Amino acid sequence: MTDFAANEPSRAGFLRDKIFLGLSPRQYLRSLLTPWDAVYALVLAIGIPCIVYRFAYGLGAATNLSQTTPWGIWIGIDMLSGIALAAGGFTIAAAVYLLGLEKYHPIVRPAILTGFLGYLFAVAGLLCDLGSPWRLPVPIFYSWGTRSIMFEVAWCVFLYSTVLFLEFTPTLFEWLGWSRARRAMLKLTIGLTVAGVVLSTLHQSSLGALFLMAEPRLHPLWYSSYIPLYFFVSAVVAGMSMVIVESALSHRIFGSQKDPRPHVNLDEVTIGLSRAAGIVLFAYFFVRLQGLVDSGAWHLLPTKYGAWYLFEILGFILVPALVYAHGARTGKVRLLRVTAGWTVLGVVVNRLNVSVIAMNWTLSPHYLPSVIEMITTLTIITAGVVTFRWIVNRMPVLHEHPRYAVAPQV
Amino acid sequence: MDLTRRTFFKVGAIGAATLATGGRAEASAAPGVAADAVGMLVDTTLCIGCGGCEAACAEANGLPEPPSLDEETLALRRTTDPRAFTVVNRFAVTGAAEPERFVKTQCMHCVEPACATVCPTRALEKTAAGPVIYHGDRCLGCRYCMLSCPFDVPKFEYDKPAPYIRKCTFCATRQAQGLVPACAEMCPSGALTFGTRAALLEEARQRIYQNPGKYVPHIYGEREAGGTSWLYISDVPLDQVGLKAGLDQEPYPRRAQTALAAVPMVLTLWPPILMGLYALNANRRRDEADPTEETRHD
Amino acid sequence: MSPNDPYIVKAAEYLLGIAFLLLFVPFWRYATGGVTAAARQPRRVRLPLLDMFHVPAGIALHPGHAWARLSATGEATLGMDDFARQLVGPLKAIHAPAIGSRVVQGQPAWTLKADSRTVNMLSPVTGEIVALNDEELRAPGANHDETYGRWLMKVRSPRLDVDAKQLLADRSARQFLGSSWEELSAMLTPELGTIMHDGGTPVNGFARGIDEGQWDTVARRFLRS
Repeated sequence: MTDFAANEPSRAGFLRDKIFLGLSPRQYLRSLLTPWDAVYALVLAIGIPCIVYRFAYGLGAATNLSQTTPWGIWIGIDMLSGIALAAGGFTIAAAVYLLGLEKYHPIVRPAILTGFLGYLFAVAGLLCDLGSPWRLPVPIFYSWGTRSIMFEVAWCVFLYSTVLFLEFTPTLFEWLGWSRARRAMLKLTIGLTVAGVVLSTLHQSSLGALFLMAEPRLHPLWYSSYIPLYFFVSAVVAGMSMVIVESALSHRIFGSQKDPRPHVNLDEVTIGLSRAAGIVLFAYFFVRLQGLVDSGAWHLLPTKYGAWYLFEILGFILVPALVYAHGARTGKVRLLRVTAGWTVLGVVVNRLNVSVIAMNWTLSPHYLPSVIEMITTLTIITAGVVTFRWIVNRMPVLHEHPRYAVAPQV
Repeated sequence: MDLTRRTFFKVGAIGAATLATGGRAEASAAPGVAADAVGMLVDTTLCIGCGGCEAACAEANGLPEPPSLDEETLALRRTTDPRAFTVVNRFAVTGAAEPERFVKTQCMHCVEPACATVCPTRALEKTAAGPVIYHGDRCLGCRYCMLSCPFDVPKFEYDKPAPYIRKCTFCATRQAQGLVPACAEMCPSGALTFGTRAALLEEARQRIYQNPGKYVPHIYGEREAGGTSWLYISDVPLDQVGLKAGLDQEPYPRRAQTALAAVPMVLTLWPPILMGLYALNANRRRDEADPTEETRHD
Repeated sequence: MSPNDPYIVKAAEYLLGIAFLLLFVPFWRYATGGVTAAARQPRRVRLPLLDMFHVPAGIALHPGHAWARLSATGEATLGMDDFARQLVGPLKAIHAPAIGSRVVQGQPAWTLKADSRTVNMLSPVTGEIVALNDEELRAPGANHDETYGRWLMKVRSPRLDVDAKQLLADRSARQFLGSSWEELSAMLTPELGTIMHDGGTPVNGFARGIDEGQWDTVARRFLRS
């Protein structure tokens, strides 16, 4: 409510009100002396030199990537998992603006912010991974490899990041107090939502389609011609689960800015999302089985990889689907949140399986990430969390800006 | 891999419409490749393992001098790398008079190469003349070509801060000057024959037919991965001499093209479907607002 | 009949699909059912207008959008109506005179405070303040479900029956609210249309939606102060 009275802030007032949370710089710095801030600072203090090292000495010095294993966890976790977990942005926006499920209105903004930052930091991970990241504009502006799935992914990620940013601008403009710009952006809501669904459908599935080319390298239990479909469906589940996890954490951590609106019932939202996620997950389990039937790779089930495969599709897909349904039926919100976290982990495991663990499965010794790779991944995730917190502490994401507040009539 | 063709068509699952268009997206074998595209025939029965091709390749491409093919080197199973675009390996064979064979490996210069198709910036390019060449100034270093190549050919300069992909270029610049590739020029034993791919296929068939019982009746590269510019014939089973078995006979890029065929369909059909859903819900909301209107005017 | 026979594989795929359908029905019923399901049935979207037009029996409105519940004992309970709440949006506080002060019908009785600006509301009756709802004055709620339950002050008046003649009840109260709404909706900007498509009303208040900078002027126009 602090912004409420600040109609025409001066420049100094802007810094104080908008950046330092209404504190003096000294007070603000002191407010950062918390255990969590110390952990973040430590991770960044170790991680940023690691990233500098990677760019100074090259990928060979910093990673365990090799001529036979060109893709590691920077692709598997930062890029593939990051993009999948950021799918909540388009899922929730579509549910609210296209399907009219007003119940989920209060989580649209955090979902879109999570999505936007997810893409931003996925691209950050990609920049670390690319040999020549300074040529990132080449596929966009200079040389179009139109027959490449990677080209399509690059364009979709580029466009969808822009869409997510535009979807986020009303929040930004409310923070800055730019009413006219905000008004203009709100008129684009439906268009941006449709664009978001279309672009997400394309690149979430195309990230899977990338691996259609890797059939000679990928374990037959994970290789499937359905893999684009798998990636898309699991991204929808991951997005919804991530929104459940993120809203639960936000609710606890940013409790002070808990939404004052009486109609906002996070439990209801959690139950509704869980039910949807459970149903999609249940269907996803069966399409994975279709891939198994189709691959004819039954004989590989009683192997180490086979056991790991069974663990993935049972432990990370079928079981969470059933627990989701049970929790939604009985209203056990805490159970649902744990299930959501488990499902998110399952999608990360799936992306790692496809891109790293079951890739080059005949190769020995198999790739393991280097310490620098792991620290860099951790650093990028931490940077995402810190950025999320920075924005949420300042902009009307979890609560509504009092001046523009909307009361859904559900 | 008898399932391959069937699975290939099923990629269309991401968009039913794909089935109609995807399979035929690229019916002709190699778009934009000339009928007189070049090739190279490797007759593994003739290779003596002298390493002349390695040395010539290094010189022509400004690479470090390769090790001499002594017993120590030949005991290793070497692969190409950023500093060696071609290597010769020795293979012990069974059931033949000679106990060992020497086989040269390098980029196969596929008729429809996966690497060039998957490259988001066209840094790798299949030329009409046959060679698959590389434009480093466009390369992002994403290494998708490495993941996609069925022959594990593209190699990456991991040790450099500004790295490039390196691989055999089929001496495309020499060819443009009317010269034959350096390896073929150097080869003293006649193991390498340079020519048009079509002529070399004919030559290979003739060698197989005219020496009954000598060769395995298979030209490696005629159909592997949809066909390659480099062709191998051998008198022992091909997997004994390190030539990868079990590759698709469809060009690998077809898989991607089938998936990509769904893109315009999604772009075209999703928006009207989504807007339809939106309109349905907007109508429903308006209907529910109606009782209010009555209340207002009572 | 090898397990890789394409006919067998295809048949297995179809059977798996049918098995899924058979399992999906109970799964769906299980997931979407449950004890709390009734409470979670999506309720019909209810526009605020419905609330605004609803005036309970025993409640009378003043043209300045204050309400009064008159009792036979000569005491009146006063509050602001739902229209006024939606007009001005969330309030920081409401300032009222102390107990014992006198309010006069049609004269300012209490002051709404939102940001730095304030708006007066007119008293529906004349009399002496005998009680104040401190809780409500300090932190005015926003839930319009209980608008006519949350009173602001109680006033003892010797002439309630005279005052009552100036007030609107039942049908005339509804008509009054209807015309207030029509007047308001004529002033709505396209932006509010956008907000409506978002599914709600601005709880920051229609006044601010109509004119950010001069919302108090807009509010005064409707509150007749």
